[in-house]
Amino acid sequence: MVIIAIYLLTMVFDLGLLFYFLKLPIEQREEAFFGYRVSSESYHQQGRQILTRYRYALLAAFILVEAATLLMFIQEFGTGNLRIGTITFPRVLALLLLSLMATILYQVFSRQAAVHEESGSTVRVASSLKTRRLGDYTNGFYEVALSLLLFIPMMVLLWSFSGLPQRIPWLLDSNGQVEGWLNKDIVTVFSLPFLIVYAQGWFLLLKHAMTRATMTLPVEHTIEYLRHKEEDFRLGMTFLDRLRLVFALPQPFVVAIIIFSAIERGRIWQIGGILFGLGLGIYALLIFRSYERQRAEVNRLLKAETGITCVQRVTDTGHWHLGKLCYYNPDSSAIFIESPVGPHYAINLANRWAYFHLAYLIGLGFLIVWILRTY
Amino acid sequence: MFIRFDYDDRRPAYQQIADEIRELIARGELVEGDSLPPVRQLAGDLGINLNTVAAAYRGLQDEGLISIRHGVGAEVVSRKQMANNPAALRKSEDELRKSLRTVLAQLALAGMSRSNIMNLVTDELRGLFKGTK
Repeated sequence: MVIIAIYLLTMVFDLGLLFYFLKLPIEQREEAFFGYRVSSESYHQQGRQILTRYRYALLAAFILVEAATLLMFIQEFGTGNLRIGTITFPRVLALLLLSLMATILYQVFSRQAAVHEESGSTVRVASSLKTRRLGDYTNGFYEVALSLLLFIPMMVLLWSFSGLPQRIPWLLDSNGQVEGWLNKDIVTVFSLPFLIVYAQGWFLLLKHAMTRATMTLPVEHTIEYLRHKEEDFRLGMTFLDRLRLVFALPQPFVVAIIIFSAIERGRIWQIGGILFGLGLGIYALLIFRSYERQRAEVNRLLKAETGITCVQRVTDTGHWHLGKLCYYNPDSSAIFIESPVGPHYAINLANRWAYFHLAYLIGLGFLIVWILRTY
Repeated sequence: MFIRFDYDDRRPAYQQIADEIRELIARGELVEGDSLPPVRQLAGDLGINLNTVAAAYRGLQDEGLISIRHGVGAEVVSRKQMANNPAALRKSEDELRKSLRTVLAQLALAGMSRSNIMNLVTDELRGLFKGTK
């Protein structure tokens, strides 16, 4: 049951990725159609055809990947030798494959959209004299509370470690029988709590880099543009902080499940954990929805008052790649550059610190795969 | 407060930035002790090389308008710094008078009447000293 639930959960990630790429080319409509500014006429005529072809290709790729993974899963299911680890590799591979195929398709169709680009890059820009500081977007009380939430359970686990049995029941099936065991060694027992702390590190790194992202302003309606962009930025920072809470809250539950499962086959903790996970998932969806709605409203006001949602500099033309998903400019010292597509920021691959960010993120992926295979 | 930049401007990029900061100081929008953004930030926002911004900052430092301290950054010294240095002021006045004469000649050659030029100069002066006490 647990394995089927994990399978379905990973499908939710795939579906999320699919919807993200389906929406990506038209998030800013004609202002950034596949990243390119096109005329309203091109957007509604040739653009519509390009978009339809892109979406069919994307759906076909999704079906292909999911069908292949489902076949693998059915094959494993037939052998009766199912563990979390046995489905982890093909599911992670599916997610990576889907990301790769979607990026390639986006790139192929963005080249078709580029033909219809109309000159709209700005030659006059402005910059605020104000410097963003991480401290302006940090609540000290919140940070202390999050740190306690992360580290107190780890200290409790460390304190209880010597009393744990050599094999800890980790997964129970629907009849209450042990389905998965956890070997008692410091690396295995602490890997999941460590993963939660590691993920927090990535969020902090992201917040820090975001405050140093470029903020190019237009020379017309500069004050209005800056005001709405600041609000958008603050919303993004608040969203990241709420996500950090979502990722930190499981820490006491994970530790409780490890300790109580070892003591009394804590079935109640496992059921509680599943319910807690579901509740947390719903909370995560709600905060994401709320963030998207607020951000859409800020962008609507921005567009209405200034006529644009992103300043596209004329000097950047040769620096954008993959339909403005990637940026490469050795002359720029910024790690994150404002982009008209996607999450509104692209990483400057010419900056060596960008690779530190990517390595940290890849490390997170490897940790998740390694832990799922161990458990 | 903003710094504006035009990629099509004929002036060198570093001079554009220095002119913008100079104007903000002259207007009194930037006052003694105000910090300027780090070179990296300004270069990133304007999409130019950070050496260009560094050159602009160095020029302003040479004029005595800003001070650059390692690890602290650039900050405005005083808009009346030149007044404390009469020799530098005289030299600067001569240079500025030449520049002014060139601009006035260009306006006259563009067909503007004396009164129109006067109005234009008065408007610019009004704008320049609006924020000053």
